[in-house]
Amino acid sequence: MSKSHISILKEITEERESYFKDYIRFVSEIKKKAGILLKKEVRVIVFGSTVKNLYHPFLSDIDVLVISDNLPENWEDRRSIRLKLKPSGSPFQIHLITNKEFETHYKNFIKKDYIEV
Amino acid sequence: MESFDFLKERAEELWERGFEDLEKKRFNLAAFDFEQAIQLFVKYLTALKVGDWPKTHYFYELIKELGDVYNSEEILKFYNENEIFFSDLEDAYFTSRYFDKKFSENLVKSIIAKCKDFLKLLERITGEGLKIIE
Repeated sequence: MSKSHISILKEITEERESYFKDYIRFVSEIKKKAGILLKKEVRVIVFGSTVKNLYHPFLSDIDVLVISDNLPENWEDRRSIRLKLKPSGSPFQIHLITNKEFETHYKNFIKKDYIEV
Repeated sequence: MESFDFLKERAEELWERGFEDLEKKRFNLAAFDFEQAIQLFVKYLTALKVGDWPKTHYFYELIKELGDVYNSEEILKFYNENEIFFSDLEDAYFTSRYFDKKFSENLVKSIIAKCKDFLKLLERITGEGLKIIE
């Protein structure tokens, strides 16, 4: 017999919440892996509802900036790196950006609401 | 019994519009149309079984529930084996509109090919197909 809609949503929410509760550990792993993949240490910043503790376990993302100047120029070529960094089925939204992109776009957008891991 | 046919109809319209946008070389919009077609069709299939659908646009959650309600491990397996495709669809939903990133024609064509594989799998498992143009 298939599970009910409510029990499935509860299961998904609990699974997502486990990432929010322990996000620093997961982000540290992402940083380590990114350094290896990009062959140079990277800066990693978490921003948005997670760091403000205003997240909803079903609806929110955990937004992570991985900042490196060793990224491919084209965003399409960055896709496979991003996928390798994201724990499968997790709510992490990983943004791969260069230092210039951070300075010109994201820095103003995230303001002071971020944690550098 | 509530009818969810409107979801399927919207999905078919969006699928068709995807090709129109592709022809006009509006690749970001084409990718967005195909994403919406798949998202709505998955929600339609879920609604047929349980009368509702998860209020999210994330494919992992949508597909996990779809697999659960149809008792099919194959659906989640397809997700796991094609995660980059679903990630592209999510980019089509969000990044393609709010960021200065452009989908290439090749990427849109690879999205269409994978959408067709996914739709074939869903038809085999659920008995429901999307009326699509090739």
